[in-house]
Amino acid sequence: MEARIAARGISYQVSDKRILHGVDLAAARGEFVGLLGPNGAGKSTLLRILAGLIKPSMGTVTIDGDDLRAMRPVDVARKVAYVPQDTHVAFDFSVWEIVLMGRHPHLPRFAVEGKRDHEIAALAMEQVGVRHLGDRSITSLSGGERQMVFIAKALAQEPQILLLDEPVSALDIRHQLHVLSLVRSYTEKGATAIAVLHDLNLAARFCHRLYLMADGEVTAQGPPDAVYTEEALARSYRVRAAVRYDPLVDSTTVTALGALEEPDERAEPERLQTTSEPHESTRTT
Amino acid sequence: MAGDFALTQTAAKSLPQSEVEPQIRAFHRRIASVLAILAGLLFVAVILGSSIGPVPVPFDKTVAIVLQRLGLDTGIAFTAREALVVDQVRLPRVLTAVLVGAALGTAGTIMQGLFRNPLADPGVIGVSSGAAVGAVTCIALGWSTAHRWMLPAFAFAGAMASITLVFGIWASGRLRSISTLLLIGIGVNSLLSAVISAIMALAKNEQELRGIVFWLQGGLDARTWEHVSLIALPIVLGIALALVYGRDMNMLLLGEEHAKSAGVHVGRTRLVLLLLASLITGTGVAVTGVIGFVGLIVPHLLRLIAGPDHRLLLPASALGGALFLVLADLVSRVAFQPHNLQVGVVTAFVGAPLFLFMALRSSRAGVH
Repeated sequence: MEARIAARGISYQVSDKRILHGVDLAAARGEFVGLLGPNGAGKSTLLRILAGLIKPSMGTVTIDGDDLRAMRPVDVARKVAYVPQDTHVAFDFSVWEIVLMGRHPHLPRFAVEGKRDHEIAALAMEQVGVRHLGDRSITSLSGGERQMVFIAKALAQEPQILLLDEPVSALDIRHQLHVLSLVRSYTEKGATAIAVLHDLNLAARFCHRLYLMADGEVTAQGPPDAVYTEEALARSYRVRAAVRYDPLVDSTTVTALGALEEPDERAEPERLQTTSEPHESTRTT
Repeated sequence: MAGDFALTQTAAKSLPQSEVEPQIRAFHRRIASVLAILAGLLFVAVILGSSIGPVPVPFDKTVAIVLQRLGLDTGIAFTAREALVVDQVRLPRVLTAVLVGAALGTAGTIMQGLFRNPLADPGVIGVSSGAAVGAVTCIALGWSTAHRWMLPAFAFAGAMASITLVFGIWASGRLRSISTLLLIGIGVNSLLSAVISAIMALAKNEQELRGIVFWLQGGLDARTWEHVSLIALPIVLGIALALVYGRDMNMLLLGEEHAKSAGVHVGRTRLVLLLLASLITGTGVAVTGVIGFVGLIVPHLLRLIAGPDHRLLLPASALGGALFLVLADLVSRVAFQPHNLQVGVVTAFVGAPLFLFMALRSSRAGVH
C-alpha cells in the first residue's frame, strides 16, 4: 500500500527532554488510523508534526511523496486539515463564520466566500450535526459543541487527510459514535484520517489500524485485534487488562483491571521524600 | 482541487441550494450598511468640522466649498473669505484628523488582533514613544524651528528607530512568540518614556518645556495642505494593504495553530501587518504628536457593533477612527472657546469613560 502521509525516523526534543524518538508511521488512502497511548506518550506532538505545525528535530514527513517542509502552507492546507485539542476561541465569531474559515486555503486572496463555499460549509455543519448552531456565537458554546464545530470546519476544508487530536474527548457517547462513524465513512470514500484517541474500545471499533505509543516510541502497530494484547497494553499503559472479542459490536474490547506496580515507579516517591518540599514536588509530577 | 473526495459529492442531495443565499446576502448587507453608515457620518463630521469655528460658515456653503475643491460646482454662492477659512484653514486640519484617525483606528485593530489582546493599541510595540523621543529631542536641541519639516522628520525617524530596536531584540531571542514581542514592547515603551522624562527635566526654559508637553498631548493646530499631502500616500497605501489581510487576521484570531493549519503563512503575515501598522502610526503621529485612545477605543466599539470579522472590522475602524478624531478635534476647538484644548486631551476625556463602560459590560469586546 502506498502511503498518503508518512513519517520516517521522527524525533523531537525540547531542550534536553525527549518527546519522540525514531517514530515511523504511515497511513494509506482510505485508512482510519488511531494513535493510542498513555498521557505524555507523544501522540499530540506526533500529530502536530504530521500537520506541519512544529518541525521535528530529526526525520521527515511526506504527503503524497512530497516533503512537508518544502510545501507552501496553503498547499498543505488544501490536503491536510487539523483539529486541535484546544478549541477555545476568544473572539465571538459565529459558528457559520468559523466553519467558513475552513474554506480559506481554497480562496484567492481577494475573494470572499461564494455560494459554493457556503454550501460546503452548510453540508459540513449538517453532517457533523451543528447546523442548528449556525448563528450562535462560538464563545457561547459548550466544549463539546465547539469541538464539533471545529470538526465541521475541518471537513469544509475538503482535505484528503484529516488529523484529529482527541476529537471526541468532550463529547457525550451518542456524539462520539456519530463523529467517529462520520470520520470512518469519509475514509471509506477515500480520505485518510489519523486521530489521537483515548477510548480503546471506540478506537478498536472505528479504526482500521492502530499505533500504540509509550515514552515517545511506537510500541505496537497493526489492526486492533493484533495490537490489543495483554502484554502490549501492560507495556504501554502499565495496566493489567483483559482483552476479549465483543460480538455485540463485532470488535475487540479491553477492560482495564488494575494498575501494574512498576519497580521504577516505586522508586520515585522515595526519591521525592528526600527533597526539601516533598508536597509541592509530588503535586507537580 | 478537493482531491479524491469532495464534501459536496458525499451528501449533495441533503441541501436545497437556496438555503445559503440569505446567509450570503446578510453578510454583504452587513458590510455595505456598516461601511455606508460610517462613511456618511464621516462626511457629515468633515462638513461640521469645516464649518464650525470662530468665523461660522453655513453648512450649505461649506459643502459647496468642499465640493468645489473636488471639482464639482454646486451653484451655491460663497464669499472669498468663507472659501479661505474653509479651504485653507479648516479643511486641511480636518483632513489631517481624518487620515491620522484612520491610521490609528486601523493600526489599533491590527495590534489588538495580532496580540489577541484588547489592551493593545497602535503604540504597543513602541512606535508612538519612539516618535515622541524623536520629536522631544528635536525640540530640546532647538532644531524644531529651523525648518517646518524638522519635527515630523525627527518624530518619524524616532518611530522607525524604536520599532527597529524592538524587532531587533525580538529576532535575537530564541523564542519568537507574539507574547514575547508584547513584553519587549512594554519594556521598550517604559525605557523610552524614561528618556522623555529625562529630556524634559533637562529642558532649558519654560517655552521649550511647553513645546514638548504640547507635542506629547497631540494636536492638530495649524495643519496645512502640505501636512495632508505629506501623510496621505503612506497612510492610504498602508491601510489599503492591511485590508488585503482581513481573512488572514480572522484565522490568526483563532490561534497560531489554527491559522497555520489553514494555510496562513503565520510568521510572514504577522511581520507584514506589524510593519504596516507601525508605518501608518509613525506617519500619523509624526505630524500630530501622540494622540491616545483612538486606536484603543475605536476597534473595541466597532467589534461590538460589527462583530470580529476583520474583513469588515479593518475598513470600519479606518472610517470610525477618522470619525472619532474629527469629532474630538471639533470638541477641542469649541468646548472652551476662546481656549483650545489639545485634541489628545479630548480623546482621553471621551475615550477613558467609554473604555471603562465597555470593559464592564461587553463580553463581545475580545479576549478575557
